[in-house]
Amino acid sequence: MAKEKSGSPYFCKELDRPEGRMQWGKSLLSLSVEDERGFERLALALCRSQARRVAPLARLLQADGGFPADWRRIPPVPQELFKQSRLFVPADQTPRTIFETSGTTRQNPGRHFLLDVDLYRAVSTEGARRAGVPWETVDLHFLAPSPQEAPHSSLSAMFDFWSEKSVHFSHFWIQDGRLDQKGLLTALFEAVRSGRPVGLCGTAFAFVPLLEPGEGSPLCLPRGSFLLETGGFKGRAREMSKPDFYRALEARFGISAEEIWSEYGMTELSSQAYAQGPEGVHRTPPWARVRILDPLTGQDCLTGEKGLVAWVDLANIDSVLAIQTQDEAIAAPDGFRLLGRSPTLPLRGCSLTAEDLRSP
Amino acid sequence: MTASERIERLAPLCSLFPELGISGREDLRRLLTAALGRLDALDGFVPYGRGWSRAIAPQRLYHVLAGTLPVSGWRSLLEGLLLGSENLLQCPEEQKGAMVRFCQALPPALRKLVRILPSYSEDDFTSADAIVVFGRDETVRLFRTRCRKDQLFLAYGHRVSLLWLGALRRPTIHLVKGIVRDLTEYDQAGCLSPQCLILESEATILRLPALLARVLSETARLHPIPRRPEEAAKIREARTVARALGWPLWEDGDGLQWTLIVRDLPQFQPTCGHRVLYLDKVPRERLGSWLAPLRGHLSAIGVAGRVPLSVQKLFWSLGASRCCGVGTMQSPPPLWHHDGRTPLVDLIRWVDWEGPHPPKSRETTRLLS
Repeated sequence: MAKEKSGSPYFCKELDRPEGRMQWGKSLLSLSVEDERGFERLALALCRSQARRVAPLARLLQADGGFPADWRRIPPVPQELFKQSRLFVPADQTPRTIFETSGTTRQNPGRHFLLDVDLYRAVSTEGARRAGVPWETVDLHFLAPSPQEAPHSSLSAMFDFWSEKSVHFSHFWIQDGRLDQKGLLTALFEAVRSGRPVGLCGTAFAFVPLLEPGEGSPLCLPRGSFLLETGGFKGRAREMSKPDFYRALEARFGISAEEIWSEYGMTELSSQAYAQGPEGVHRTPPWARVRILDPLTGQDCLTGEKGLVAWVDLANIDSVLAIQTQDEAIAAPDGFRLLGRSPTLPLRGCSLTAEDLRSP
Repeated sequence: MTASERIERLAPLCSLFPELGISGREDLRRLLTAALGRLDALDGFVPYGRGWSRAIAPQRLYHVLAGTLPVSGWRSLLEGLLLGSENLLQCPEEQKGAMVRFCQALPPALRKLVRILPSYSEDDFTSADAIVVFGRDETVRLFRTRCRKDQLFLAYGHRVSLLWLGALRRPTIHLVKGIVRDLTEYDQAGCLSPQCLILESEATILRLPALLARVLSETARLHPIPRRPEEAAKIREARTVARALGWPLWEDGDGLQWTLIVRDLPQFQPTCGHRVLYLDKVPRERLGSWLAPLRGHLSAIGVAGRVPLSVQKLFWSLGASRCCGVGTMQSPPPLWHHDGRTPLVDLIRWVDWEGPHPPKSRETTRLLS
């Protein structure tokens, strides 16, 4: 579809319609990791289409000297812009879903408007499957609120997609903002007793209460179980290094570090990258690419160099496909080693920052 | 050691550290006199009304210093030494070098009143009878909760400074140089650094950036600042957001030394610092609502020319404590009311002696003999 219609106004309209979105989804899922030309063709077509309707992207393209011929030249839009501007492609239509960023900026969150979650559902289930996360073969326990309780959480939505597609038991264990620790531990002990493998998935911070000393005897989760953490600890009162965190998880749940997955996604994106084990390299699915950019030069880092993560996500059809994050990573030959949020500068001391102004 | 003796010992330090804005002996004397009424009030009882009074300084001061600039820490220590207190400094890693340098310049008699702590120390914190905190509101809140009721607590939290040039029409090169000085000193990292420049005239707001760009380029050429990656990331982000939103932008490219952005916002938003200056067109009638997010956070206002009474009143109501000429924002006078307070006053308490004669030191004195 993209091959024939790319660059035409018809292409834009197609992505506003269910059939067109389904076709686009099929194009993405048929890409292979090696298909660089296919990725480029779709990326440039999507960029051209979005630039017609998203003025900030059009301005960035213009500032960069016009439309690029290489997907690497598509200007990544800062995450910050999702707070300052409504980045929504479908003209004259109402977004059915709005995902919002959480954290210290609740008063002015970043908003990701989606015409539909159809493509998000498709890529977030298929992406995890292709990465090798065994979410379809186990009971799923989510250390997250349900989508009913957190309708603007993209993470809850993704877990719900897994839950919908799975034939196994699943449950969201955060209710009214609190982890039902007793219920969860009872369920996990029952899984251990009956030998049913489980997947325990949530933000890194949500795992912390389960790791506190005195929170029950260590578990030995059945073979085939896995843990999935996301988000890291940056910006939280309690921080822990990744190796320490993984060691604590191994000891608490009785599984090996290789059965612990790290998911890297964000509200403003539709696709995710996954890494396995504490030293694992994050890899994207074939329909997304990550560049590691040196903030000093704005250029791509070489392998082994540290920079900031910039995504090109072909599943982000309702906003912008290229996004610049403030997350640090080291470029690797086949992915990147995620370090986490760029350190907060000791900036300003007593001088007020945007974050301070937005905090209650 | 008497206050006068301490002044004599501290005076040479002032010329070694001009950032303090204290020229020497005379300024130190003025500081103490402004706070105490007379120089010897810390040394013994002085006449007060029908009796006698004496100023009591904290025996031990615990300073929590900010990570951005050394100068606020130096000034805080200087004030502690002027009062004759022992000073414990909880100093962020990035400022330790500067603080060590300052302490090494102290005469031995005063140096022994200072200790730089390797990190937060609960024992030391508890042992102090006064706490001074510089930093984010979050930091201030944290230390306030740790304080005992009998500990004196003094905090300097979040502040924003800005330039207000009103209806200025013809910016002179002298004015432009002043703006650049205010912006570039300390790399826009302090609470006295202007975060934005407010103008009422559309014509001036379009004329000014070209002039500023010229002077900023020259400053960057003479005194380039090596950028850290995290600073570069913030600067690039601010520039990209401006481009994406269609805001006019002037910058120095990959040098990342300075950025000027003419923006159009309904209300104030802070800069990321590092010489990213926003130029905002705000008509007088909208100034109140535009500055509303800064209520209680406003600090210094750099101005040029006349400031109408209504605008003055607005600034004061939002918490501003200083109005000064463009080019002088970073060098407040020695008696500056930091966050609206007279220096030293909040660190001392007074004790009164009711009787015809003051008590003599080392002697028991009978009251009302």
